[in-house]
Amino acid sequence: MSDILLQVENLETYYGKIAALKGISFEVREGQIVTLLGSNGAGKSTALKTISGLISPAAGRVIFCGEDITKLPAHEIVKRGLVHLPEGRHIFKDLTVLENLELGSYTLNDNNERKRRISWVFDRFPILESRMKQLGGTLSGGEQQMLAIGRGLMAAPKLLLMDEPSMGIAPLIVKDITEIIRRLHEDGTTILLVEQNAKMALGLADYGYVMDTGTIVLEGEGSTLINDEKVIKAYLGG
Amino acid sequence: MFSIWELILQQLVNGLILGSFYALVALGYSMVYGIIKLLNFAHGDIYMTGAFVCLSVFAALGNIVSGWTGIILSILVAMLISGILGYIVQRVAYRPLLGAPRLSLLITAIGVSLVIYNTVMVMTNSQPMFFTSGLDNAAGIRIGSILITYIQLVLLAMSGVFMLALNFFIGRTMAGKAMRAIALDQDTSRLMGINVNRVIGMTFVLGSSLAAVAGGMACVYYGNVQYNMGYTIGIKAFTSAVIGGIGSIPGAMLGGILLGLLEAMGTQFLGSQWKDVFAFGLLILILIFRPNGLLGKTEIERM
Repeated sequence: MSDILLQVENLETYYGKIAALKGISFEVREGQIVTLLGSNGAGKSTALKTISGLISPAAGRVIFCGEDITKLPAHEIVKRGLVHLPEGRHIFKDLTVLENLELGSYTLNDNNERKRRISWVFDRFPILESRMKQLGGTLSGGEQQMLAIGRGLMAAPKLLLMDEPSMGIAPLIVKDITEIIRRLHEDGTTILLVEQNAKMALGLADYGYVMDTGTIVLEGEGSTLINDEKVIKAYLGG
Repeated sequence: MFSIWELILQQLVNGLILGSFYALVALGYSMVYGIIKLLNFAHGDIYMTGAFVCLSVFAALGNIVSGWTGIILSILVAMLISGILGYIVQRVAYRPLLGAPRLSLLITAIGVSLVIYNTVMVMTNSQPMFFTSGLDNAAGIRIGSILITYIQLVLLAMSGVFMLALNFFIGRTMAGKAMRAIALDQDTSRLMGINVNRVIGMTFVLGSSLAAVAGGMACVYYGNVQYNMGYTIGIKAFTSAVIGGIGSIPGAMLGGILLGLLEAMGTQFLGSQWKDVFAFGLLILILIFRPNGLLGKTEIERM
């Protein structure tokens, strides 16, 4: 088995007095796609935000590449190669496509390397190259998602946290996004994927965890979960 | 006698200079509002402090350097000191309140303004101080019966250079892009690896040094400096920022220049007692017909 890249131990997060995470533990191994499933309000997004440092947890630990990053601010965590693509894409609407990409590599001080990564992203997403002078807000939903992924890749991530990449995107484009994630995986990018679209997520994932109201209630290999009766009933509309 | 065209040309130059003052100060208002949604009412007092520093440094340089060299050196020192003051104000008074309701931040800004204002008032015994540049007020370009002085031209060029430099910084550098990103979406900016607090601090330093440029220009142009000089220009600069679209950098420049020109023309053709009526009448009109200002953006949500 490959090395553990991310280890989450008994993570507890509160919004005021309401517990959003009630002590969850899971791990992501190098080269894997791991998915967190669950309905609205299960705590999936909160889990990602706590890992990437946007929210600080009340208890528990986040270990990334052997380092305890629980108390680090978000901008320090990015530097270590843990990159979070937030739900809803969050493109900088009034900045150009190119500027959005550049900001993805903000922590990089080497301009040549930045240009090299931009052309690498353009190779993958030619549509972004043809729109590079356009404002991010003028792109369609699917293009914005590509920009969000491209912007994340600009940081040369060791681990990519993806929050609902299929949300609000036309069904036809969801296929493209799925294909993009599969290719990233083939290139060796490790991915922690949060999805409501369980079918898509389990089709991609090596391993999955099912969350419900702040706890992990079920886990298993993607191929096992996809045939699990409870999962089918709750998330696959069976 | 002056012909009507000469009067207009004269007031055009006067208005451009006045507008440069407004624009330089408005930039600080607008940048800070853009990035943390705070109307920094202490900004006019930073301008005033910049003017005093410039005056003091110029006096201290005395016989070593004088003329434009001395003035430019003094302005650079004033930029540095005001920048540091702006940073300290931000660090001590505003940063602890960034998570608090905006109203607390606003009241704090008024408090900071009073502290600076009163400190300088006590230090200067409420007396104006005079700035003797030693420059020739009569040298310049004569067009018909009007005179555009070299002082005016240099001041205009100076403010132009600083505004261009700021435009370059905001538009082309990574730090400038980070500033714009934070203004749009703070959490996502943090996910890009941007140290948001550091960029906010940098924004105050930039805005305050630009205010100090205006303060230094005021020394040269008006020849006197007083503890309450920041009050009116603060309000006028704020008006400029709103006219241009608060949060917008080109908007602050446009709003400042426009307000300066209108005031100059209003003074010439309606009388100086009307110029504030003019300025604030324009503000009210803009707020009615373009509440986001001339270059302000309306929010477009796209899913």
